Amino acid sequence: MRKGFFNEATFSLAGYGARLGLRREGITVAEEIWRALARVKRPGVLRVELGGIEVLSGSFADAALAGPLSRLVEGALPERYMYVAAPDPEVVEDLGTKLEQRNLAMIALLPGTWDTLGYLSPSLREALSLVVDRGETTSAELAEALGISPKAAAVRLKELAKGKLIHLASEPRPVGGIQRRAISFILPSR
Amino acid sequence: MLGYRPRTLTVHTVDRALQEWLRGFPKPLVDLSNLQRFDAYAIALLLLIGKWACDGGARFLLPERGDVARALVSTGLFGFLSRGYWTDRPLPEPAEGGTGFVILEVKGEEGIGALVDSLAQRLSARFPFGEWANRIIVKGVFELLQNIPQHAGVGLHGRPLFGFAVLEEAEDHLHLAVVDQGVGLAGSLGLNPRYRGVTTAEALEMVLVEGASRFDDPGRGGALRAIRETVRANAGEMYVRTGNGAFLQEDVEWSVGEVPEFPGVQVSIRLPRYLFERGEN
Repeated sequence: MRKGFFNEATFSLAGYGARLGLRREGITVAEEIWRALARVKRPGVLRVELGGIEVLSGSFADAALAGPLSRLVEGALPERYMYVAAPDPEVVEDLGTKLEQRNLAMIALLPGTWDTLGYLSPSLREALSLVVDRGETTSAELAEALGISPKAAAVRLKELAKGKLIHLASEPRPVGGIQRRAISFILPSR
Repeated sequence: MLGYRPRTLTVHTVDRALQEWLRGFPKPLVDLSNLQRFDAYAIALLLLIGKWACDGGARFLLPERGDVARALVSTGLFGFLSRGYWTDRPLPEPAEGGTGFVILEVKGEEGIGALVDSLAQRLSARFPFGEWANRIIVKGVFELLQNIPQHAGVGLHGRPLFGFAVLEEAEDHLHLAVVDQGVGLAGSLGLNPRYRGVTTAEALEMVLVEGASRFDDPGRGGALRAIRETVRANAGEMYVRTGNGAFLQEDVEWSVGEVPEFPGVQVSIRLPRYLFERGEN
């Protein structure tokens, strides 16, 4: 993550209670999360803080978190991203199941590490790890690091950006033209 | 002719009694005179029958054995049937300190959060090292209770909807029963044209194995399947009854069978007690 590149905001779920399980409450929270996302200037990142949450059931998680991510992936609010920060991986178990059901993936910051929740193919997971560990990378650098063709690397970055897991910025190529740079919106923590 | 006088009313045995009770509707004779043992699932069904027949008046023959009658009353069962039932003798005083049963009545979606919170607090007081297992129960109750207003009552005509959850702390397991007498799984799925005409057996398999839902939104559905998978992974047992079909998950196997017709969905989940006491996962 490039310091100061993203506009950041935090949304805490703790104010809604320690046990969150109802879809109808999740729908209300989703609207608030959406407003919070809309308020962040682009490129912007919303950290959804799950500290203090004991139970996050699938129905609530789907409505409150998978729902807004789905809208972002569909193209609403461009250049906005979201991830969850959870003190315990068990709290986000059901969120992962729901994201998988929707064929989506979300980054979860966990104590001392990070992980992806939901569905992400191994090749995309590998590329994402590299982007997060380095903070940013170009497709040429990714291709070299993973021993794949530049085209395959570019496709992987494009897919990750489509899934709202990284930000892709355009920049001038030193030899002329434009190149895309993948930028992680979380700090490498492992 | 003497009616059926069950000695045990449990998830394995209650079906025959249920047929008898339904036969007498709207004034069912619930003959518990010979009763010696019961579980959360049977209590949940008694709540449904008693509440549903409230205006007609369910008639209860209380267990002849004093300790069983007292244990039955101590579950809190009769407190939820506030009017319109008859017993063959006055109810005995409940045991002090309760009997390991907790009953929750679903009256609407807005009250579910408070019900689940109270259950979660009780679980964490009883099983302070079972945080992970307590969470399984709490998530399951959240999902199953909200299914009642969201699914069981949709398209239901001609009868009020009742829903209950009963948690029993048994000697070697925790038993959660969640019941309603709504439209049932096939009735709910059938509201989506894609599933119109599904049989009960097909609906059970679609919902519990494939995670189907009447909603087209890909995020909907899957709650019962997820619960079943959790139960299977933790050496538990799950029984789901709807209409004239029942689904049993035991060890790694599941099966679907036919049972006497009863409306709605009734779920029984049993998890080993050691999960809660040793905090294993």
